[in-house]
Amino acid sequence: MEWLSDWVKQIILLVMVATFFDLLLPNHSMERYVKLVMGLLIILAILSPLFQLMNQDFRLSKVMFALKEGWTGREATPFEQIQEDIKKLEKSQNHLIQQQTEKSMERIMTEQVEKKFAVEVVQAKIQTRLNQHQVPEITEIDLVAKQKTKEELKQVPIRAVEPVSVEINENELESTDSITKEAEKLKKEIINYLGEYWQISPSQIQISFEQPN
Amino acid sequence: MEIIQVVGVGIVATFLVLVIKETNPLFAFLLATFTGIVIFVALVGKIADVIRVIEQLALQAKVDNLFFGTILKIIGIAYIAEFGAQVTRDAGQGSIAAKIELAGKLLIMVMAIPIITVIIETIMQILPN
Repeated sequence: MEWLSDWVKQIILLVMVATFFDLLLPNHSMERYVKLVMGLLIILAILSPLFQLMNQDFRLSKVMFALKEGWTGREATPFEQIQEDIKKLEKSQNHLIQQQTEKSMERIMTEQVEKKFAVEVVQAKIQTRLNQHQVPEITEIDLVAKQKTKEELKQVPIRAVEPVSVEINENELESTDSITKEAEKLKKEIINYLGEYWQISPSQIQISFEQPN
Repeated sequence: MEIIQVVGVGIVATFLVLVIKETNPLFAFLLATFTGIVIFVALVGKIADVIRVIEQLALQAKVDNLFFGTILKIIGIAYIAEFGAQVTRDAGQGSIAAKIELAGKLLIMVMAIPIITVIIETIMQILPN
């Protein structure tokens, strides 16, 4: 409020000076001239806050600080801090969006892979990063799958339960080699499929198989 | 009690002028002029006091030196022109007195030109182009 009292003081003093000048003048014919000049001076003094505003380039933060200095009692948040808070909030919001996107992408991928291939997805992990347009981009896909056992596959069309023979089990146990081969093939297929669907290079996809129990 | 001195000098001078006027009008006029100058000089010191007070006020009011000096000069011109015009009018030369006053007014206008230009410039600055 100091500038206000300064301003009023200046105007009052100017009016008093003008009155003294009027008293000093020897005759009335000269009065008009001095009155004109003093009147202009008083107008300038009244408008001086406006001139100051015009001359300074109008920065909001400056005004904010000036107001803060003026209000000793109340606490106003400085403009810089508000901007900082905005940045922080934006960051956390972007992070949340990224996380949400990753989660939903993981869910979609799990569904797709399970539908398309005879596997059960144990764990799907997609890592994204924000590109320069603040849009999430996939950087890595990590998939842990479990091959469905033949019994599980056969569960889909319901058939009469065949007597489980030991022979098949033995066969399966013996042919671990063929299982891994099959797994490799499956892995490649899944990688190709995912790469095509999500439009990323196969090197970014990692698939590992858990041994069917 | 300066006013008594001034009035005394004035009355004495008036009597003297009235006495002399019949015999020697020229001396009467000189006496009147001289009395006027004496009174004026005696009071100039008082004017200085008043101007000093006003100067302080103006300093507090943050008046530009250009404005303040110009206004003081205007007042000085007004005083001098008034004094000269009165003396010449006393001498019966009303037309010359009028010319002196005209000169005073013109000079005051010329003195006011810088202030007026500054103010007009500032007003033009605020107005959008």
